[in-house]
Amino acid sequence: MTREELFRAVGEVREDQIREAETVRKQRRPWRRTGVLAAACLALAVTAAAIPWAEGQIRWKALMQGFDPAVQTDQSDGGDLDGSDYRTDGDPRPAPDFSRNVEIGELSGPGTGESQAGMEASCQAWMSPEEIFARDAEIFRGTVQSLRYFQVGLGAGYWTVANVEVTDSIRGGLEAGEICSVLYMGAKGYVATSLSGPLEELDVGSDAIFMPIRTGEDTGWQEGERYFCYADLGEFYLSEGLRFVFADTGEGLEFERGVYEEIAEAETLEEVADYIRRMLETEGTQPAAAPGETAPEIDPSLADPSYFPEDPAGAKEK
Amino acid sequence: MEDREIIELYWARSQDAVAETARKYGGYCSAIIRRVLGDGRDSEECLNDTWLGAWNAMPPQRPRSLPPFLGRIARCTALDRWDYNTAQRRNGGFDAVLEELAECVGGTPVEEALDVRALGEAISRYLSTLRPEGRQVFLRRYWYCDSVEEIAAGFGFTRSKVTALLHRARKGLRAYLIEEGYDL
Repeated sequence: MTREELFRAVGEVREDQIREAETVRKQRRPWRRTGVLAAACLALAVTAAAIPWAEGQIRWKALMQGFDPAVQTDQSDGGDLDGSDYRTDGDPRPAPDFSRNVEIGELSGPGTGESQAGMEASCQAWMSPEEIFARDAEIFRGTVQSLRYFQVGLGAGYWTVANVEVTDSIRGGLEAGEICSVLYMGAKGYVATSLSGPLEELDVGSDAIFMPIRTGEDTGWQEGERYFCYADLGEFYLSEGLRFVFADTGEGLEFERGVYEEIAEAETLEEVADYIRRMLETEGTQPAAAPGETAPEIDPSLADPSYFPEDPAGAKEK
Repeated sequence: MEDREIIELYWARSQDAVAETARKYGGYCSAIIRRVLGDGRDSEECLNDTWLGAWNAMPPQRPRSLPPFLGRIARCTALDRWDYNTAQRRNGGFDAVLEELAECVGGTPVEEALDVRALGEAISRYLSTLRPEGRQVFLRRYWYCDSVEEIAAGFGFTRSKVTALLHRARKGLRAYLIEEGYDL
C-alpha cells in the first residue's frame, strides 16, 4: 500500500469524526469565564492579552468572530479564512458556574507591594511525608507559563492562578505538554500567607513540583449562603505552598526541608522527583483522608499506591 | 442558505447550486486544497474541479452533512492534481503529511484494486478507539492537513505533545490495519 492510497482512505473516515475535528477545542478546560457576577461587579481591569495562553484563546475567538458563512468570498484567493477556522456550533467553551453570591474579578496584575498584607493561615495538623503523599493529590513537575490575579469577595480575598505546562507527571492523569491551571491563596503585592512558602517566589518561567488537589463542584470556600467554588478559577487547588510545592527559584531549591528530612540536602528538582517516586512506591502511601480534607471512596482491592480516583470529593475550607 | 437548500438546488439541476456552494464553502474547500497544492493556479483550477465533482455527485447522492462531503471531494481532487504534478512541483507542507503516513505502509502499490471506502471504515474503527484529543489531532493533520504548529496552537498543546500524539496514532493505526488483515 502506498502513502497516497492511505491518504485517500483517511478521506473516507466517518463524517461524525470529521465534524468532531472541525471544531477544535482545548481539552481539560471546562471553565473560561473570568468572573461570576452578583448584583454588582467589581470594576477591575483585565489585561488578557498579556497572558501567553490567553493569546491562543484570543486567536481562536477572533477567528470564530471572523467567520460568517453568508459573507461572499473572493474565489481567486479562497477567501479570508481557511478550513481550520470553520465552526459548525456555537460557543465552544461553555463554563460551569458553581460559586454562589460571591463576586470574582480579575486584577490587572500583581500589586505594588506597598500595601501588601500578611495573613496567618490556619495550619492543618502537622503531617509526615508519608501522610502528605497519601493525600488525594496529583503530583507533577511543570513550568509556570502565566500568573493571573483575582480578587474574591470571600475568604482570603486575593488569589492567584498559575498556568503550568506539565513537564513530568509523577502521579495522576496529566501528561507532559499539557497546560493546567493551579489556584492558590494570596497574590503577589497584595496578600501573602504564612503558608505560602515557595509560592511567593513563583514567577513566569519558574520550574517547580506541585502537589495540588483537583477541584470540583464541592471544592471551595463557604460562609453561610456565600460560596466561592475553586473550580470556577482553576482545575487544581493548592491549600499551601510550604509542604506541597518544591520550587527552583533560580537562587536555589525552595521547599520545607524540615518536613522532608530525607532530602534536606537536595539541590535539584530531579532529586525531589526521585524521592517522591520512591515514596509512592513504598507501602502505606495509599491515598487516604488527611486532616481537613474529604477523601474519596477507594476500592480496597486496588493495591497500586499510585491509584488516583478521577473525581475526588475535594476540600472544604473552614 | 441552509445546506439542505443547497443540496436541493443540485437535485433541481439549478445553476445557482455551484454559486451558493462557492459562497458558503469556497474558503473551506480552498484551504483544504491549498494545504496540498500550495497557492497558485493549480489550486484555483482544483477548486473549480471540486464544484464539478459536487455537481456530478448530486444527484444521486444526498449527503447528510455538506462540509465533510465537499471536503472529501476537494481532498481527492487536490491529491489527483498533486500526483500529476509530482515531478514538477512540491509542497513541503503536504509532503511532510505524506511522509508521516508513509510510516504506516510499505510503499508498494496494492496489486488488486484497493477498496478505499472499506479501508476508510477500518481507519474510522481504529480512530474510535482513541481518546477524542488523539482522534481530532490525527484528523486535523491527515484529513485537514494542518501543520503541527497550527494544531498545537488550536488545541493549546506544545508542539512536542502533538508530534507524540501523532506518532502514537500512526503506530497504532499500522498495528490495527495489520491485525485487520491489510497487506501494508
